[in-house]
Amino acid sequence: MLPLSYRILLVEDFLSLMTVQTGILGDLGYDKIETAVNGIDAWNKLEELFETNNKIECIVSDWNMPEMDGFELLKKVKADSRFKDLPFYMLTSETDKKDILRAIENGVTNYIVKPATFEVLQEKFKRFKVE
Amino acid sequence: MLSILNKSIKNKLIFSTLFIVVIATVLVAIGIYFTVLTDLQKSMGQRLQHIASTGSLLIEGKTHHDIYKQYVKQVPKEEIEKSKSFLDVQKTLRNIKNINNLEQDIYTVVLPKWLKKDKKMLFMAMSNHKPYIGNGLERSEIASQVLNTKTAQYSEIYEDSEGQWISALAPIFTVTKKGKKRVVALLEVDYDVTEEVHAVQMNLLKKSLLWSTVGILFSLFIIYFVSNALSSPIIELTGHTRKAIDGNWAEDLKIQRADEIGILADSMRSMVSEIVISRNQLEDYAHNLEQKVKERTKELNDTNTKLTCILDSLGQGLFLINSDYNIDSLYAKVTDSFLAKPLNAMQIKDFYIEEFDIDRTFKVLFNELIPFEDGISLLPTNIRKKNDDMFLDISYKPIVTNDGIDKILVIITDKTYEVLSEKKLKQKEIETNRLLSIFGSQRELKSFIEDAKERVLDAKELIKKEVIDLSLIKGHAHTIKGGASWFYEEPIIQMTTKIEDLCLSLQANKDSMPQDINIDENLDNYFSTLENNFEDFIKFTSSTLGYDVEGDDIITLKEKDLFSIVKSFGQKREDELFNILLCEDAGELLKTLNNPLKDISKRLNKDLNEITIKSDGSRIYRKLYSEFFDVIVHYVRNIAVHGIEDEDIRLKRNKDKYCGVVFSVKKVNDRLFFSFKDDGNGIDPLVISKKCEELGVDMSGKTDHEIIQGIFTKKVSTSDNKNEWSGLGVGMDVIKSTVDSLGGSVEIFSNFEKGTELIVEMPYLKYKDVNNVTT
Repeated sequence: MLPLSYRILLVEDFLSLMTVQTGILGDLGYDKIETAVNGIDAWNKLEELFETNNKIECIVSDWNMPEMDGFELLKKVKADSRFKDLPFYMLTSETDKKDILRAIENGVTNYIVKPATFEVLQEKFKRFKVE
Repeated sequence: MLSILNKSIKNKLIFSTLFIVVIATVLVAIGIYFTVLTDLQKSMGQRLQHIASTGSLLIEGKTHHDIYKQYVKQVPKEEIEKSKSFLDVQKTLRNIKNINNLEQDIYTVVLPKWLKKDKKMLFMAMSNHKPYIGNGLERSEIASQVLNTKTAQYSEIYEDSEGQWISALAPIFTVTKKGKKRVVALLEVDYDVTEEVHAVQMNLLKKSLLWSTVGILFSLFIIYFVSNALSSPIIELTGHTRKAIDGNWAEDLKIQRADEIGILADSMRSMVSEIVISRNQLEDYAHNLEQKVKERTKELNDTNTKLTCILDSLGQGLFLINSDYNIDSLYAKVTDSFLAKPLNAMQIKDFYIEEFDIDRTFKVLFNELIPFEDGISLLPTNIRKKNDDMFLDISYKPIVTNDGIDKILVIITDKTYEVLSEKKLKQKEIETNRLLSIFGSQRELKSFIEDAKERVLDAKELIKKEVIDLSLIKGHAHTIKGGASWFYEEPIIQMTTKIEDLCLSLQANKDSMPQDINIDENLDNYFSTLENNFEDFIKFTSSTLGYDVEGDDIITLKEKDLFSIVKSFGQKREDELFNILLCEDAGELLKTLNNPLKDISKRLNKDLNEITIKSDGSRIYRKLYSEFFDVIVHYVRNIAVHGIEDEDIRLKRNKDKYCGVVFSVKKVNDRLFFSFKDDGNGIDPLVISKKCEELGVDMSGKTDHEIIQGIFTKKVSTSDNKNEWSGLGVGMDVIKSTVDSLGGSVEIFSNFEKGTELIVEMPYLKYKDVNNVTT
């Protein structure tokens, strides 16, 4: 189970969807949520909060976003020793399994096919193993 | 012997002490022996020395020298022996022997210089009766000393072939003309001490034996006490240790001493108690382990039994995928009954129909790169079934060992019966829904039939033309299909689909179409069939509704009646019926906001693009949300008044000339989300911040997003120029309080100069909520 104490960074370009997702994460019991609207924004948030007590502990990111997409963000995160161990959940509307494989091989903790409902997120987070 | 020595410390002590006593006795005896021997040698030697020195004075040197001179002149020995000087000397020697009661003969020797080299002495005369002259004796050490010192000397005891001896020698002098003494010969007296030495030895042996016996007895006595004092605690300790080794831990070690043995006993005691604790723990552990093994064995047996049961069951196919991503040769033979060909003739890629990246996908599964349950969704769902009528369910279970996933169990279950039953159920549901649609949408039904009839007629006219407008015909078919779908009218849906497909293929193959195919006839036939389908549909609906749907006016059912229909269908389907009969697409309700927005924009000379309405088709009962729609219209007005910039400003900001407005609605998990988005002016956080502070609200440390939420505060308005269309007294605060009262929330997102989005989230209200409202 993904610990409820984790500070989650939600990366989503559609503000309305972000509101929905934040709500669902809240309903699941996660009350420390940071948001970013694309990969670049997310990266800045990660770096900015890294030095503080509000360090990001999990990333939930959309795949398709302007400027820097979720996959680029994933690669960047995994290449950085500070963030490479963070659980990374990829939200994807892609049902193309090749793309999903690509994300898995690049180290995502799990993928979530949209719509990411309460039940889907609950299920995916439940399967998270704290190492 | 060695084994005894090895066995006991006590024995070792005894034997080593005895050994020491014996050695000591022997050493003492040897010491005494040599002392006695020295005494004997001294007393006997002094006596002999005295005899020799007094005897030598009796022999006249000149006479003796005369014998020597004859010998040197090589006078025959017989003559020398008869000479007066020889006889005189011999007589004197005999006298000395007799006076002193000597048993052995005494004799004289000379040591001529010329004989020095071969270190021999020369015999001159002897006291015996047989004369003797000539070479013979080895020159002894003592003879040399006598020559050097010119005084008598005696020897130590020495041994030769005849026995043990002590000898004494004394010089025989002549006086030279000058009156100087000169040694001409030596007188030697020998004494056989063999018997005396033997007597000393015997005496000593007797005494030594006595002493050692006494010594041994005494030491045994001492050893007994010492070894008892020393070894008994050691023996006890040893015994205790041996018992401990044999498993008797309970016995207490009683040794209490302050010495090394006491320390050893203490260590032994603490060691034993530690061992006892460890042994008990080990016993507990062993016992638990045994229990665990038993339990685990039982579990395994249970699992095996279960597996056997599963394998034996006829309904399920089972096989394993190995970690090399191949199908295991061992599988339930029933599996073959589901598949196009026997499993043992298949590789994993033949099992699935879809092509997929086997290595990468199974690597994800076996290495659990993501949880197994999620990983299996990467596998294709279509498999090579034996026949198409079969509906198979495939599930995957990991076989896990300590090293991770070893194999993947694939379970194939025949769900044909279940699926068919479900299909039948669905069919019944469709029938019900169809009736409900007809009942609930009579106005739409009427207009659909009118519209469709017109379109069919138009299409038939189009077909007759020289050049057939296929896309127009296809458009008609598509629109009719859409309407028919609403009423679940399968024959019309199928026919219109056929027409669409035909049009599509005709369009695509315009050039290669064979001339002999009569397009008009084909299409005409289709539309004739469609007309017939419509006749049937009209008959059916008219008889269902009880009036002629083509001619008569609609008999509208009142809401009250609709509610009673909902009730009559029972609790199970009340939500569904309520949804169909009384709810409408929330998007349709959003459309009612178009007019006020367009109206005000027009009056303000602000241009709008077509307003976009997005809906996920969520149906809501208007009356439940009427308060919300009453107030949201003010926000929509605000968009026109404050949100949309003048055309020149928009162009300056690199924006489209016309403002884009999107209203959308979506249902997520029993929550309804409305979004009102524009790409207009946006909200200036500075203005809101200033106004809020004027009202006494502390805005320090807030983000822009937090600041603009201040717009929901009472008395905050974004425009200073109030006009007749806005600022009517209904502000954002009213929208917020209305939504709050409905159990929802509002949030506004805005980028200044770029646009604004208002998001309203409310609970999705159902039939029971109507009841709550009405009661």
